[in-house]
Amino acid sequence: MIWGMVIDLKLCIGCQACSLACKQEYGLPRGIFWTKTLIEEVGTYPNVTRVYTPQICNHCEEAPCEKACPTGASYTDKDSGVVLVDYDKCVGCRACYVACPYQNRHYLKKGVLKGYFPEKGLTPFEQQCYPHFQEGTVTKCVGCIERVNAGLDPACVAGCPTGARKFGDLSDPNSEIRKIIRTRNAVQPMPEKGTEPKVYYVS
Amino acid sequence: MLHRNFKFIEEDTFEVGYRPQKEWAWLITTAFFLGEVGAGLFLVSLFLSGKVSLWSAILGWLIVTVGKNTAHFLYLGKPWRFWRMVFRPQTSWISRGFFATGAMIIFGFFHIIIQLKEGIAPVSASIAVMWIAGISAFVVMIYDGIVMTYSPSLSLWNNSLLPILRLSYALMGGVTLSIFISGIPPLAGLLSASQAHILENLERWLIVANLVMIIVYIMTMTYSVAAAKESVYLIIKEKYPVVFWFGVVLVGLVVIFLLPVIVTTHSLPVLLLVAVCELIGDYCILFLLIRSGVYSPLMPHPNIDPHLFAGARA
Repeated sequence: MIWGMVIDLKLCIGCQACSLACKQEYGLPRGIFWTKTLIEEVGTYPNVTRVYTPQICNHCEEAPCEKACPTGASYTDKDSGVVLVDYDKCVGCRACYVACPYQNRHYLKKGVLKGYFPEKGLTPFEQQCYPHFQEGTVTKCVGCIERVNAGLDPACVAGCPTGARKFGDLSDPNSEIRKIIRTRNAVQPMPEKGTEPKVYYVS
Repeated sequence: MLHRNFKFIEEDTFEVGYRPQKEWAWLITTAFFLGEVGAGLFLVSLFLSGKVSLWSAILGWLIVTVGKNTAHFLYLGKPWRFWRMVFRPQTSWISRGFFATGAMIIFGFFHIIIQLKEGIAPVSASIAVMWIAGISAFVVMIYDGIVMTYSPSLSLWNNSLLPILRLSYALMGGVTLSIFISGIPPLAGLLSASQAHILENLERWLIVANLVMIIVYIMTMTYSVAAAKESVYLIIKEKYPVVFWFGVVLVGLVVIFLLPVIVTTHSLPVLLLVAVCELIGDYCILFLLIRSGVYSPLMPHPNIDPHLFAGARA
């Protein structure tokens, strides 16, 4: 199975439920969002509107972050095609961070794992989640690979109230996302970068 | 010529717009700068003779070994894992640069020892050591430019002229420091007239070459994609015009070109002033190139769906 996602921009209402679902699933530290919905105001008063662009790691086929990594900490999981970071190997050089055209990598600065209320110590939830992270390393979306292996949708997909995010198997030509990509003129973000993202957008 | 479609956003908000590269800042700039200048000085020393060559090699080696490595070490989030950078030379230029720096440190050290104690090694071995040290110094001079060029994310960096510009600046730094070292009292007059003449001419040509390359670079970026234009906008107009016009152009190029012409007596203070100005200009241009990288907005909506806005308003 090859991890893939299609995001329907017409269905996204900018509620940030995906951002919160992800944050809750992994207990992400303060200021870290593995996925989020970008907001853009367009038009001129009084004819203005807001458009929303959900953003998530594209788990690129030709991941520039992986190529830039000098230690091998960034790697692609062969079974799922998901790009992951081995925190124990990361030196925190942030070459991957700089190389990602989509800005989907996040650096865990010193002190970020002191929690949302540092003066009061870690909450029980933070105590449970934070040992997975290491300060001074780079973190990113893990594609909810554990949930997927358990037969569940990624947290952001499951949390989306409008069904704007669809998840599926890119290697299966008959999968739902493959059909959407074929029939609805799906586009990859910044195709000119040559990264072959596994996230597609339709509208 | 310069136009903007999206907002320029410096804060970590959820807005769509151009965002500056902020993770690589002054420590990385310092590390790259010291690596280039030190390796440039070391490489130039290989073409010189006598004590000027020896002291240039020692200073260049020290700048790389102590200066560059310390700055990198301070920058890393997990510095004690630095040795892990040997594992990806097949794809990562940082890894390749790590190997080159290591080779320069080791073979540069042997080269200096051989220079200090003549006859300690056979001639063939000393030549081999010198070649390996020289080649690795060349890679140290150029690899950080290639690291930046290989990054597809920032249009300002993703330009094949960048490594050549950085190599040229590294060489200019090496030549300038060699001229300065050759003017320090115990070493003054030890450099042969022909070598001194070549260094001075080389310095002038490198200044002209760097000026032309900067102009071409800026022009190329101006006619490139929108994010690159935004970077140029930051450099020459909006955020760093003082650093560019005063630091890079005036101090770093015009002054060091004109000073030796106006002041014909090449006294030590003049040579020191030229060297300091050159280093300031070098640091400034590297700082600008690193800090002015701008990411393109994630999805320029109108480009993919011109009807979306109408639909959203309906």
